[in-house]
Amino acid sequence: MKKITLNKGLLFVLIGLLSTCANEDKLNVPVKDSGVVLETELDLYIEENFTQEYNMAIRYRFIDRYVGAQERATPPRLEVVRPMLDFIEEFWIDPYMEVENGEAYFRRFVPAEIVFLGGPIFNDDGTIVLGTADAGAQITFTNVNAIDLNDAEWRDIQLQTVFHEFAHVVHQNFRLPNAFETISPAGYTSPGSWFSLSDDEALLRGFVSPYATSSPNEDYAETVAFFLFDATFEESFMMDEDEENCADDDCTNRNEGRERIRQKLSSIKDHYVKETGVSLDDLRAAVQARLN
Amino acid sequence: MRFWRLYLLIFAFGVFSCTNDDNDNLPPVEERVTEAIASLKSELVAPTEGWRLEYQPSPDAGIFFMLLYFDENGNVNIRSDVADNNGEFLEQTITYRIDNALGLELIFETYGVFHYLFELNQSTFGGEFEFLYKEKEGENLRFESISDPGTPTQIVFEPAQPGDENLFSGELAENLEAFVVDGPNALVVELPSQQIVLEDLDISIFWTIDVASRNLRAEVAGSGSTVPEVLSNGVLPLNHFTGYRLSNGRMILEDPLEFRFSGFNINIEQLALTDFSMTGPSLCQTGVDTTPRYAGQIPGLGSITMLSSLLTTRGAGFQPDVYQINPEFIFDNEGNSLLEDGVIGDIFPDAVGFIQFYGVQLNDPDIPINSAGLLFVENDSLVIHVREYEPTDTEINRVLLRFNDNYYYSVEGSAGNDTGLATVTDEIFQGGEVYAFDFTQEDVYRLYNPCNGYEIFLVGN
Repeated sequence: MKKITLNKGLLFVLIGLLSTCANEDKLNVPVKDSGVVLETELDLYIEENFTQEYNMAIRYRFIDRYVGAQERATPPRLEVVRPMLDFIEEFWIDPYMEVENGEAYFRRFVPAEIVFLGGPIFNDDGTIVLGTADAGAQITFTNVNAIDLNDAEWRDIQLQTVFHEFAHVVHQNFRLPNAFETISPAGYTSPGSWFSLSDDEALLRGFVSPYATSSPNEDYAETVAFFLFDATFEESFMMDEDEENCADDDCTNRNEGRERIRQKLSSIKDHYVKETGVSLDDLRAAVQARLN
Repeated sequence: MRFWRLYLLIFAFGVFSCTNDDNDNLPPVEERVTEAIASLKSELVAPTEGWRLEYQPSPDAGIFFMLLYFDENGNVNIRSDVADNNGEFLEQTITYRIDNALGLELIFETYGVFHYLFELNQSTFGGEFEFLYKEKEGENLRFESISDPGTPTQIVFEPAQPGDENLFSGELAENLEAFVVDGPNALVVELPSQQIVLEDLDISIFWTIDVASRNLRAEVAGSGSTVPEVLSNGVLPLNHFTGYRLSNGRMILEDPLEFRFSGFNINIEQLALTDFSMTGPSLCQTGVDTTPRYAGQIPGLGSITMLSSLLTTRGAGFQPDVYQINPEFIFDNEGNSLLEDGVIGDIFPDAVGFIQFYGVQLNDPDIPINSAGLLFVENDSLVIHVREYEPTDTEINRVLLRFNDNYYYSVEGSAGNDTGLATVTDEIFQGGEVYAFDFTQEDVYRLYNPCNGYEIFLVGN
């Protein structure tokens, strides 16, 4: 499970937090009967286009179990549910349908439940969760009420969440690529401490984000997610800073970090093709074509 | 003894058998649950005028008035006097469900006014959208909130009566929202203050109002109808907290405000607010912009005018001290940092700090005890470059700052830029008047300039 949280209690400083998650949940959990009577146009649309089509339940009516005992959240507005369905269809499902072997992979591993929450998840400690998922079985989209396709920050968080979680499916079923964890062996953080890193510090260690340092599995999922949704991935990680202007150790180390990310990405791409038949390059192209 | 045990055993079997027989006569659990849900649903949809709810989410909150109409299809139409989000919650239809978990639960399934209240203040306000059904009391249905960590909020649905819709004060709620926009809003939006002028008595009351939570804290009262008049005449501390409700164009205080001042007994139970306009005076003494003005009456006290104000005891702790801040935390009225995108960055991009000496003499007697300016690092040493202002006081939370042309450099021979510093201080302190507000941490204040909307965060020593 991945959580993107914000702590708003600190003076002048907003810190993005990502918390750890367990990734051992079984996949393809049968869709449970929520007791929803299919009497509205929206429910019928969901039934036909998601439940019947992909065996994927869409939960937008609030049920307690969607959040933990120490978490508080609200359901979405009725009127944003359909636009949100269109969003996940266009930016998540359709790219898989478009690329070779993508449809078979998607249909086989699609999570059983998609949950929409209206706002963030509020924790007792004052942090808020902006994106979460329970590996494979359920993906929760938060802040759905704020849907705005022109808001790059909102859009990126939603896509980062869904691509990250869906990437876990691959290593859970086919293990990590050979020697993946040896590419940045010294970079992984001790449990629960990844959030003390900045983006720059993560890059110095050879990771696309601080959360990626929390474990090889999260590193794998985070690298896939960033590669797919991040329009600036190329300039951020694929190209070194100009050597002429790279006069200090930090710059050199950042470039070394980028090299490690490139090695990992190459390893992941090969692994994807070998195990799922899906080309991540094609998938990225399909996603980015929709974002631009 | 042995026989007693045998009789007891036989008796227990008998009782157990009887119990089993009784259970056998009851319908299955699922059937009973279905019946209970259907029964509550039947109650909810029964009243022809719907249900009336005076909802108080937490003890510190005021009252939110609602009318709810449930239908058989799982929809509920909710009318409320919550005017937030551009009136989204004045009327809407969402879905509801009755579950059986802790007991019969009424759950508002999709986002509406209850969820909005639930999310207020980072979801700490105390609102709920899942209610546990407790009992029918006469014609009323009583519920308890499920999510309250302590004593659960009691929610009572009363059958609505014809004409109850006339009690809605959505317009009043919307007009009170207009008072929220004036004032400090960088990083955290400050609660607005209002001045209630008792026109016939020439007395002003200043309170801080939270229109989202529907409560207010009356802070001071004074003679006069303008801030300078009130400050020159002295004020009476009030410190009176109360929730309020809006009903039929009136703001009703749950705990009336009573005090004696200037020979008058003041008792405010409600304010009838009738005429709203954007014709109130500017918060800047030399400004020409307008602010909200609400005219009305208080029974027994005559005509009143409600105005925006910045006067509040919430910044009274800003007293003589040495204050500093990273200049990134000085903002213009659009929230842009003056270091990154403003006058400080334009003239002094290398500034590492902003400093204000407020009536404090340091070891170096050459530093003006009332001065403000910037800090720099030169040759690994901190350099102070400040401009003097005339001695001043914090009047409740208002501070007048009149700069002169006396400058100070802490390093002899530094190439100072008096003109630049004059430009910076003139722009930040345009109008010469700021209001101090407490921030979320001790010894941290923000100064708000009503003439240009600039905000300066300052940390005391």
